[in-house]
Amino acid sequence: MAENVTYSLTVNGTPYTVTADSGLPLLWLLRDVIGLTGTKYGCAITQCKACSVLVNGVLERSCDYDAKNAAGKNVTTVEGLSPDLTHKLQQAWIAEQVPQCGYCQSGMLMAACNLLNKIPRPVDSEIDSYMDNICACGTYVRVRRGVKRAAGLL
Amino acid sequence: VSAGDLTLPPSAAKGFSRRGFLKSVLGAGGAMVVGFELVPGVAWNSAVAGAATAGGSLGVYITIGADETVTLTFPGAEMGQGAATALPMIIAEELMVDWAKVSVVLGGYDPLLNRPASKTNGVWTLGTSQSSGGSNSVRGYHDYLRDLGATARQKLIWAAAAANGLQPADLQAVNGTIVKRADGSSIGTYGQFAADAVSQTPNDVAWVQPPYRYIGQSVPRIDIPKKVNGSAGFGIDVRLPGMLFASVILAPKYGQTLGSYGQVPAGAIAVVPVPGGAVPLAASNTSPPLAQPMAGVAVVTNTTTWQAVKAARSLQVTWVDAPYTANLDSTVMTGRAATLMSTGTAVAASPVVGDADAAIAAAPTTQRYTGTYSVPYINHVTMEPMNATALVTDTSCEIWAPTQVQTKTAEAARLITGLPLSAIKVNNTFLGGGFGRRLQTDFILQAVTVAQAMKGTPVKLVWSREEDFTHDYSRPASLTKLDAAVDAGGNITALKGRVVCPSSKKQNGSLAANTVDSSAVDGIVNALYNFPNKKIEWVLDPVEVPVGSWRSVGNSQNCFFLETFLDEIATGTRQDPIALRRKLLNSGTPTHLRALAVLDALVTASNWNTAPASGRARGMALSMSFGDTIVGEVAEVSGSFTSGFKVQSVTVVIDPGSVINPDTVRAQVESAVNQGLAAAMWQGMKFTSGEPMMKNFNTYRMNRMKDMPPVNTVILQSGAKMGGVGEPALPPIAPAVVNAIAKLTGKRVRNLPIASMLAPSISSFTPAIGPVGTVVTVNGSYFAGVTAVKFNGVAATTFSVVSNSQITATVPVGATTGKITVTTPNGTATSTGTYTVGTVTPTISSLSPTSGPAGTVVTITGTNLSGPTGVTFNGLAATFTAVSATQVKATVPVGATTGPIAITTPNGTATSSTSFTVGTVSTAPTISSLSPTSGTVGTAVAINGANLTGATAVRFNGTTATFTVNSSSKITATVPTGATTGPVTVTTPAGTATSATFTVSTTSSTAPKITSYKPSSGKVGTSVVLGGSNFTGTTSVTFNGVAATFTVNSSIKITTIVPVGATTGKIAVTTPAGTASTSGTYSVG
Repeated sequence: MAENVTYSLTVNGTPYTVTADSGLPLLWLLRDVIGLTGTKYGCAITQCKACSVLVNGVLERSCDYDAKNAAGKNVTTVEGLSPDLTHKLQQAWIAEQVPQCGYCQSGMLMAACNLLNKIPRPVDSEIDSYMDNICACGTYVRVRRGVKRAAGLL
Repeated sequence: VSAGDLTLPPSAAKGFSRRGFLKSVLGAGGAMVVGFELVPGVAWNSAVAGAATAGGSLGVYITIGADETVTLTFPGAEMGQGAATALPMIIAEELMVDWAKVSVVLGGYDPLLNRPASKTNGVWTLGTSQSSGGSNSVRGYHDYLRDLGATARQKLIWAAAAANGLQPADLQAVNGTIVKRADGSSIGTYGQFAADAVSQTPNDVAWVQPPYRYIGQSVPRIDIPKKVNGSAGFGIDVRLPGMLFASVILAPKYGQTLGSYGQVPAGAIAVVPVPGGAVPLAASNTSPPLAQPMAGVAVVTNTTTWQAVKAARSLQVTWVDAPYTANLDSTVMTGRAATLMSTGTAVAASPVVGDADAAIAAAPTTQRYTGTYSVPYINHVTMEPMNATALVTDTSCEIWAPTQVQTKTAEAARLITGLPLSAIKVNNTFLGGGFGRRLQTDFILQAVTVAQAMKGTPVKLVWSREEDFTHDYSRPASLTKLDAAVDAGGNITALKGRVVCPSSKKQNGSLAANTVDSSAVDGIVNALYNFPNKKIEWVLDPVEVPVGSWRSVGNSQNCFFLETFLDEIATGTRQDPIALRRKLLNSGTPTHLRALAVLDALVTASNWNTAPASGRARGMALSMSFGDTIVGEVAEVSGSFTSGFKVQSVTVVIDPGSVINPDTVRAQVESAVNQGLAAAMWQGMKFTSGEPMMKNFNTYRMNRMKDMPPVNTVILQSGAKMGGVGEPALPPIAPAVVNAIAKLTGKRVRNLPIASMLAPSISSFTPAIGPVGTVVTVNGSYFAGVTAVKFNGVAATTFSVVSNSQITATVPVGATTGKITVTTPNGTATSTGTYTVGTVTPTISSLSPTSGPAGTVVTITGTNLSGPTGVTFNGLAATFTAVSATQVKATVPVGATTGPIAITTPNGTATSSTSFTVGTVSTAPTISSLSPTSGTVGTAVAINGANLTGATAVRFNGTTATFTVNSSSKITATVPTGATTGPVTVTTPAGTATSATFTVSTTSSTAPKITSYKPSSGKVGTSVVLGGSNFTGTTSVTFNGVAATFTVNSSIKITTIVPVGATTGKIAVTTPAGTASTSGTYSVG
């Protein structure tokens, strides 16, 4: 059995010092150790992208991101967009009534956050390429509108 | 309208201490978000409200607080379909409350929340279960909740009237207050009258009349705010104090039972077998019975779900095949279905109209149409994997679960624990997708089983995605043959269908003999068209792949069959597909009038009568399902069978009669289009010897953003009885797309998915060279159904389709160098690269470096080194990396010895001609001797040693000397001016070597010197006189190296004799202080 390791990281601005299995992926550190369950498990093979978070501003699939590699870094999860629904993406998602079951939406929002950080006014092909998360409910039409609304394009 | 609030978990306390529960949960240190607190006020429970409404059970739905808050209970499952908003909207409309003040709780298991069944003489009778399926949430509860809200409103009015000595008719309810009709003045609020209202028995209950305040308005969904900040509680998010984490390893092949399993694996604390095979589900009280779960073992940890999944995978388990397991193979099953199609016993589905067989037999062959279609097994693939959390004690069982079936969930817990239903509490969480998968209770049975084994401690059981993919209750495959007769006017006079399809009812034991499982024929036997003669018959395919209800169930395949067949007939009879359908909708019934109105709207919204852009075509389909909701769809498609297809846009016209929340209807239409489109385009499960071959998203394609077309939705509200909206938009999308493809390409897709008809392509192959018999891996796409793999035109006799994107093929006898081709029924793909056939013996030409210690990475260069299978250093295996056909890198292994390197490839073994030297080879210089070991300044000194090449400095006791490198083992240096006695050093780039002491002698003091000799020539025996200095102590005199006898006459004179053997050369005199030579030579002779 792998050994536990202790390290510190910052999640949504809050510092944590954690002790966890040295092989634990960031997804499960967030969910089962720190208790932030907004980031979702979908496939564990970086296909569905429900687990997307930002690590030092870089979009990462937390299911396949060694948690101890986040030591000393800043992790942003969906809970970190804003607790009070004031983030422009949250506002856009509500305005466009994007989520259905909602399970993939944490990852969608983080992907959208990454997209707008890089391309503030994306065109459709850029949305296609950056927003390649899987949504089984098929909210794609509304995700596209949500991104455009948040980008001020609607 | 502002959104209400939504709270978890539900309010139904049922024998539990609510406050005690809250205390324990909130003790989790910020774990599960509960946020519920008893509202001061009145809960209208069944005891009081039931009596007041003559049997109707209203009370569990509405709680009005003294603070005027209104809490409404949602009785179903919120899985994204928006019912948790729509149902409370219905109550709020009748109750006349401000939506902004409404909170909604997700109702857990409570028989008082069961589906309403019927209303007789104003009294409702509830059904036997709480479940969310069949697009039945809103339409199923609508009338009941209208009555419930209206009754509650009138109770409040009656209470207010009684309190104020007024007649109920004098009062009305307005936005949470009771006001006088006469002047609108308020006499109080709901909160004030709620307690007294409970016992009122109003006899003037009537529904609110339009215009409505909420019904028909697009009210923002109450669950969405929680779904954009991570706070929505899905089943997988449940966290309880002291909770354990479990995961399962289930039988990898269908039908297998658990053989044996090993010890508790590392990282786990318990192993618990979960129900499968022999669990006594016949004892189930639900209808249909609980499905048989698949056998397996749960592994429990106290750390994380990740650890539980990991530990479960590491558990050693043996499985026992069922007799049929090996036959659950896609190839075998396809063949068996074909046999059943031709010879199986059929049961006719009701209604049978006229005599379709006779009508078709009587038609001229040119007026008969026939087509055989198929769809594959489809999985649900909810984004949230199956999971449930349970806490079992000796007297209670509490469950937190994302389930579509609260009643069955409680029943599953009863079966496992033996506890009465009254001791079982079910908390419904949000569902991360349902689609029919969560109508099953297999994961509930497992969670309760594990919780019972860990009694007193809550256990969250979560499946891995792989378990989820391989243990579904799939949408059944169906093979269906349709026949029709058409009259001279293009009217279809007869339709006959023969459906070969498995049955979930058969599998769970609820199918009566000689009856039809409606799931097999839904969407075709009850299609909305008027066929003068019609017979649909069903042949049970008794296949043991577990099947269940996938969104829109039988309609999902049967609409594809029928609407595609109609399109083929329209093409054959040169009719517009919509015109053809209009002829079949000619009865004048309200349903047909609605259908015609849908077609009219579809023509307009899709620009049907205007040609699409070049390179595009449109196809359409029509369907009625789930409470007579009629949906017409048009898909506009571009592309080809070689380049693939893209659905450019979809137009949907839906008439569900009437709607509660139009934006939710649009969302459900978009959702159904996406799910139906993904299935039509890409999806289908494959099985090999009982094992599902698709295990995760890398082998089972879902739609992504780029695959989703814009959807233009038109909602018609014909006023017919309300139908469902969650599913009816799914069935038409597959035929609409396939019909567009037929129009675009002239080619008809009769077997889904469409991808199975796309032409193959080759992206790469490896190795690129090898003799006959070499196994070549070919990568590409759309390899399903490969019929031939050829090497420069010569067919491989052995090949295997690994997946839709990979084939292995063996280079056949007679093959020659050239391109590889892959042929499927859909076309032939040709590789861009050339495969070289031949005996390609590998060779090694060089090594770099040629020596080094263990760990050194050696680059081995040669030819035909592709596909190396082993590298050895003097026989010891090493790790290696294939770089190219001419290069391999290998790491010197620990323990290697000096010797040749060998590389083994599929084509033979190459051995290096030179040895690789293992070890730390020193390149530092060394000095072994000096000659002479002493001398004066200017003396030439030979320095002997090793690794002297490249010397940069030679020093005599630190003084730099001039030198010549003669070889790697010899340097000649001249004793420099200023040199003193001490060691000689030689410096190279690899280091500095140091010698023993070299004695530098001073000329003036001690060293001998010869200044003259007489004679300068003569024979052996001639006496020669030497003149010079420092001759005292002379130890030898030599003539060209040959020692002579001598006499030291004085320090400045020696007499000597030319010795026998002397040859012409210099004469030398040696004293302890040095050696002196003549400057000239003495000639002997």
